[in-house]
Order: sequence, then C-alpha cells, then structure tokens
Amino acid sequence: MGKPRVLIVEDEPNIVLSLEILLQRAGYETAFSADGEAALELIRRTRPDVVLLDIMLPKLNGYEVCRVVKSDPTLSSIPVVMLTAKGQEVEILKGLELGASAYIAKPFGNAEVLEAVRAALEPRA
Amino acid sequence: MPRWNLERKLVVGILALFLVPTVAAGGILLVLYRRGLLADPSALIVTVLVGFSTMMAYLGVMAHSIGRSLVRTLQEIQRGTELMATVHPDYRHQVRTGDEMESVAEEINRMADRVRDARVGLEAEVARATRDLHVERSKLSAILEDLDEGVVVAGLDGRITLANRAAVELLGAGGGLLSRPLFEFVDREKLTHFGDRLRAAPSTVERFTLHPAGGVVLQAGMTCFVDGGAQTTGFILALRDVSRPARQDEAQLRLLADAARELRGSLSSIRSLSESLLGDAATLDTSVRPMVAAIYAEAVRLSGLAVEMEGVGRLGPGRAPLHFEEIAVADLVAMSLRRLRTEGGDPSAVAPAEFPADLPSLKGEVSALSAALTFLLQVVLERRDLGGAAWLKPARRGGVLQIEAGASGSATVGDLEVCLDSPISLGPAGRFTVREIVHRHAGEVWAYAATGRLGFHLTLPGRDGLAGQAPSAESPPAMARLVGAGLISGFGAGERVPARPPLYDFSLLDQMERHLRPADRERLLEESTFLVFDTETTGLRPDQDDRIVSLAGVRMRGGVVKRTETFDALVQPGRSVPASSVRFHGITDAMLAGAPPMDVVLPAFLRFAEGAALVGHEVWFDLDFLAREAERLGLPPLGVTHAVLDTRLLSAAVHGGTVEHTLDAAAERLGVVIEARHSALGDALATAEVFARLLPLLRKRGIATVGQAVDAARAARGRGPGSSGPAGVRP
Repeated sequence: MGKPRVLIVEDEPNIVLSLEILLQRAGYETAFSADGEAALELIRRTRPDVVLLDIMLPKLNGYEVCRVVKSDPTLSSIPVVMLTAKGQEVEILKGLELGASAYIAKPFGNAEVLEAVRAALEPRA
Repeated sequence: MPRWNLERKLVVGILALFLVPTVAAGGILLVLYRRGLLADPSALIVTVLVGFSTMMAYLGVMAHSIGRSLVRTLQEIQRGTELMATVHPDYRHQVRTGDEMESVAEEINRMADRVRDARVGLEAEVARATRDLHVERSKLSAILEDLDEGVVVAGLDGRITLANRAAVELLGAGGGLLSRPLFEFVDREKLTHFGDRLRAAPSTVERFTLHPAGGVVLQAGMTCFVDGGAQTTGFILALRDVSRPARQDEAQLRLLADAARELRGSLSSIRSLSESLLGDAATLDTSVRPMVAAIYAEAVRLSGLAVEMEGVGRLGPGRAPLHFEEIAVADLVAMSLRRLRTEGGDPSAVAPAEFPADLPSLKGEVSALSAALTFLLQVVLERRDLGGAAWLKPARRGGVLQIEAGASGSATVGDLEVCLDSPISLGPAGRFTVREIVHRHAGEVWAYAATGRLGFHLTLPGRDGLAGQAPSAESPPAMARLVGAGLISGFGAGERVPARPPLYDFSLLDQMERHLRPADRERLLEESTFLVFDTETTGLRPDQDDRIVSLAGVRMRGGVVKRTETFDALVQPGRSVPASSVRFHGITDAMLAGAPPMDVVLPAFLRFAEGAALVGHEVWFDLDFLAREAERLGLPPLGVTHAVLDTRLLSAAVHGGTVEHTLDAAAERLGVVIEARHSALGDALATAEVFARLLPLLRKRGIATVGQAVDAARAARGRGPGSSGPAGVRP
C-alpha cells in the first residue's frame, strides 16, 4: 500500500513547486501537468488518487477537464479539488456542479490545501 | 435753355395757324382788287373758292403736323417707360421738345435712376447678407464637424434637416441622414414622449438615452425651436456615446481583474513556500527564521488585499448603468399604454393606474422597460375573460418598485412564464426577452395565476437601490447589415412578358382597408411619405414556392420622387431561378450567390418603409409575396402595418375604363420614360413618376387624402380593358 498520489494540474511553476513541497512533506506522492489536455492524458494513464485542478489552463480549461473526468465512468470516482484564482460564487458553484469535491481559493494557506486533499481522500480510506 | 410751355406753344401755334392764312388771303385779295381783277363776279367767285380751298388745305396739314409731333413724343415716352420697367432698366428717354413733355421724360429718367440705385443697393445688401450667412454657416458647420457630439436638427415629423458627421457615425447611418426620418434610427415612442413634454415647456432641455443599432448607447439632449409665433417647428438633438466610457471602464476593470488573478497566483507560491520553510524547524537556521516569518506575514497581508481588490472589481463603475435615465413611474406607464395603442392594442381596456405618492422614481432604459410592460399587458389582455378587468398597479415595496400587470381570467403559470422568454423587438436596438430586459435593470419578473386572476409582478430597484447591483453590461446584438445590393439595368424593354395567373385577388386590399388607421386615412396625399416599390420573383405563383429575388423601392414626399432615397437589394430565394424568369428580369442564380436572404432584407426594408404608405403598380401581387415572407419570419403582413395604394387602380380612377392601365401604358400616357424596365428599382422609379403625375389629376377630381385614394381605387377595381372583375391580370 503506497503513498496516495496527487496530480497537480497548474500552469504556474512556482505554485506547482510550493504544492509539491507541501504535499511531499505531508507524505504524498505528486505528479504535475501544465495544461488541460496533458492532464487528462496523465489522469487516464496513472489514475491518481486526487487531482488538484486549476481553472485557467492552456488548451483545455479546468471546467472541461473536470467535466470529462466526471462523465467518464472509469475516472469519475477520482476526487477533484478545484483551485480558483477568482473566488467568485458563480465559479465555485459551477465547479461543484460539475462534480468537484472541494475548491481552494488562491492565495491559499498550507493547512487549507492539506485539509482539502485529506478530505477528498477520506471516502477511499 | 428757355422753355416754352405747352399751352403757350399751342396758343402761338393756333394763332399762327389762323393769322398766317388770314393775312396772306387778305393781301392777295387786296392786290387782286387793286388790279381790278375782282370786278368780274365769276373771277371773284373762283378766287374766293381757290383761296378758301388753299386755306383749308394749309390748316389741315398744319393741324396734322402739330398733333403728330405731340402724339409721337407721348408714344416715345410710353415705349421708353415700358422698356425701363421691364427688360431694359438702363434705358433713358431722349426727349428734346423743350416743353412739359421733356420735363415728364426727364422726371421719369430720374425716377428710373433712383429705382436703379435702390436696386443696386439692395443687391449689394443681399450679397453682403448672403456672404455673412455663408460665413456663419461655414463657421457653424466647421464647429459641428469638429464636435465629438452628434447634432441633428429635425422637423416635428422627425425628418432630418441638418446633421453633422458625428451624428451620422453615432446613428450608424451609412447613407447619410439628410431628409430621412429620425425614427428610422431611434425609438419613435421615446422621441414622441419627450417631444410632447418639450412642447409643453419649450425652453427646457430633455435628457434621455437612445439605442440605435450596433449596441451603442447615446445620451441625448433634446431642445425645440419655435418660429415667430411661438409655435414649435422642430427640435435639436445633441448626441453623445455614453457606452464608450462604459466600455473603456470595463476594459480597465478587466485589466484589474487579470492583475488580481495573477497576484493571487504569485501570492499562493510565496505564502505556501514560506509557510513550508517555517514549518521545517530542523533545517531552518534560527538567524534566517525571522526573515522568512516576515515574508510569510507580508504574503498573508497581501492576500487580504488581493481579495479586497476583487470586491472592488465586482462593484466597479463599468458594470453600473451609466446610461440609464431617470423616469417617473407615471411617464413609464403612459408610454407603455401609448405603445400598446401603436401596436394595435386597446389601452382603454386597462383600468387607469393609480400612483401612490411614495413611489420611488426609476433609473433605466425607458424604451426597453415600456416595451416590456406593453408586452406583459398584451399577454394578460389576450388571456383575460371576455369583458373582464385588466390593470396596471405600481406600488412601493421597501426600496423597490413593484408593478403588477394583471387581468381577471385563468391561465397556468407555465404558460405565462413562457412569455417572459419570448423575444420582443426594441426597434433598432434588437430583440430581447422581457426577462432579459428586467435583469438588465437588476430587477425580477414572475408570473402568477390565482383563482380568477392572472398576471405578472415586475420589481425594479428604486432610483437609489441600484448601487452595487450590477445589471449585465452586455451589448444588444448588432443588426444584420444589408449586403449584396445592386441594380439590374438595361434589360430589353421589348421582351414579351408572361401573363400573371389570376391570383391577383383583393383580399389583401380588404385586409389593408380594415386595418387602415383613421389618422392615416385622413392624411393628405401631398403631405404623405410614400414608399413606391417593386419586386422581381422566381415566378408568378407565391402559393407554389415562387420567391422574391429582388426588392427595391424609392421614397416620395410632397409629391416629389426622392431619387437619392432608394432601397435596392437582391435576395437569395433559397431555390433556383427558372430560365423563363431569367429571360424576364435577367437575374441569374450566379448573381444571387452572395445575396442576403429575406430574413435580412425584409427587416431592413421594413425599417426603410417605416412611416410611409406603400405604393406599387398592381401592388397586391408584390404584397402577396411579401406577406408570405413576413409570415415566415413571424412579422405582421405589410398590408396591416401600412396604408397601400395601387397605381394601376388609381390610373383607372383617373382615366377611366376605356384605356390600358399597364405600367407601360400609364407611363407613356403621362410622359414618363422607364429607364430600366423589369428591374425592381427601374420599375419602382417608373411607378413613382407615374404616381407623382397622377397626384395632381387626382386632386382635380377631389381625391386629396389617402382614404379618398383608397376609396377611389376600390371603386376602380376591375376597370380597364382585359380586366376580368376583381381578378384583373397584370401583364
């Protein structure tokens, strides 16, 4: 039974770095992808335990990635945590409607991220 | 020079006339007597007879000569004076008789000099005034052209008499504005509303917004001008694009929002990384720790600021309804009822509204709100019980204005709610649903259906209740523009034309007569605006899938054909044009390849036709095609919305049933040359000229109003060779 794997989908390298450091130190295995299409590819191939998904992404935005994941029966059980830089109700609502299990508004604190990931993994534990 | 007066001349002349022969006769008789020549009685008689005859001859010659010289002078004066007064103002009398007649002639000469001086002075004055006027006008047009604001001067009928370049651009008037009706570009109800208010208080300025095509919002300042008798004769509109600053603000806000998003991303990294460092007590050097802690604290502080920034963005001025105008609820209700009447409804079916004193005033787009209210009223009036009550009740609910449009009757909420999502036309601004309009005003609208009652509640924030409630700043969709227009000319006039089948019935005439408004019926022909139009088609059977391929028209006003105000479009018929029709009008499938469909052309044509009575030669044929197209597009038939006159029937009314009334025959009889027969625009222009020449002939026969012309046309139905009762066939 290995470490839980978190896929970070984010096009901002420093955010990726900070999340990697945070999550690795907390005992997770991480992978990352910088655009929506590559992320989908990676999700299908590696089936991560949690996806941390930014909304504003090149090629395919976070909503679309979430919609595809949640409409694919083989992937829909993977929890998705949305990362939003806007924090507006309509966006959060839209993400949750599409099946995301939580959202984190940037700028986030480390505790928030760890709590959201832990909560997303909970039903599997 | 010493002068003899005429009297002295006459006395001396007459004395000389008699004295000279008397003295001469006396001398001769004395000489003859001394010589004894008069002793013989016969010699005496001969001498006396000869002497008397000579004297008579002398008297006659002299009198004639005196009289002739007098009359000649008078004639000369008369002729010269006539010349001076008419064709030769510089002519002067040259009378040298030395008497009163010379004086009269000189007096006339002097008078002519004075008239000439006055005329020259007047001409100089007029020239100077004209020059001044020209200079002033140049200054004015230079100022107007430089203005960013649009300026439009129009008569009470809305016809534009002056407009600067900015106005042309702001109103999106590609073909210029002069002598076109302003209502073509902006909401007629709104202009009428504020025009009426201005006439009651002519020295004020009314401010409101207008929404021409293209999503631009114009702030308008309207003043009226009066003539010497303090009668309002027209108005001036100053127009300013207020949506531009709003659009600019919006762009700035977008930038700000983008910056905030970027900032939040960067802060995430700084905050998370510094927090991770701080949490790693084993590796973090104690001397570095306070510095990392400071970085973390700053990142947290900046995070707070970034969240606040987003709050500002959400309430920013770009979303605020900058262009909304203030309006009293009573005015809104009055305008809605007037619109209801214009659209064929009966405002008297709605109980008079009461306006509580505490009603908040509104800020909004009056055109859109009144159109929405009118539509709601139409919906409830359609569904009310026979003879049941209908009402419009404004009330205050906290800071909110609530208007109820209701009626006694039964319906389901679902049925009513559907109406809120069906688009209504806001004229040039486009089509919107009631719900969209209300949401733009940060309001809400919902339907209700209780026992025996049905209707809608519409809530709108009061004047002060709008702050921070951002109605969406979306632009209405731009109206589709007409493309692919062109005149097909030079088609052979001698081509044999296939006869139209007997589907030229007059049910459309009956329909038009039923809907003809009294005001239109009473309008004088000479004061009416007409749109004379013609179509070319794929064939003669609109009931068998034949369609219009070309639609053209020309406007007429004051009995004059406005050749610069034409509409001319090829129309994509959505089917091929048969060879028989190509032979007729010369329009081929290839020519129609890039032409716009009727969905685009007909709305543009209707805008062009607004406020005009329609005229055509055997117009019911064309109208049959147009009515089918209108029905397909969900528009009312043209015969219901416009008065319609047929030049074929009017020609028959004027010239009776013994002559032909084809377009060619009528044109030839009235001296009209047809330039491009069997092109829609060519035929429309010819029909317009025929109509223009029929107008004075109609007036002579006591036909002066549109209604009288309609009656005369009805009476002339079926007249003319080759016509077979009401189903006359147009060759």
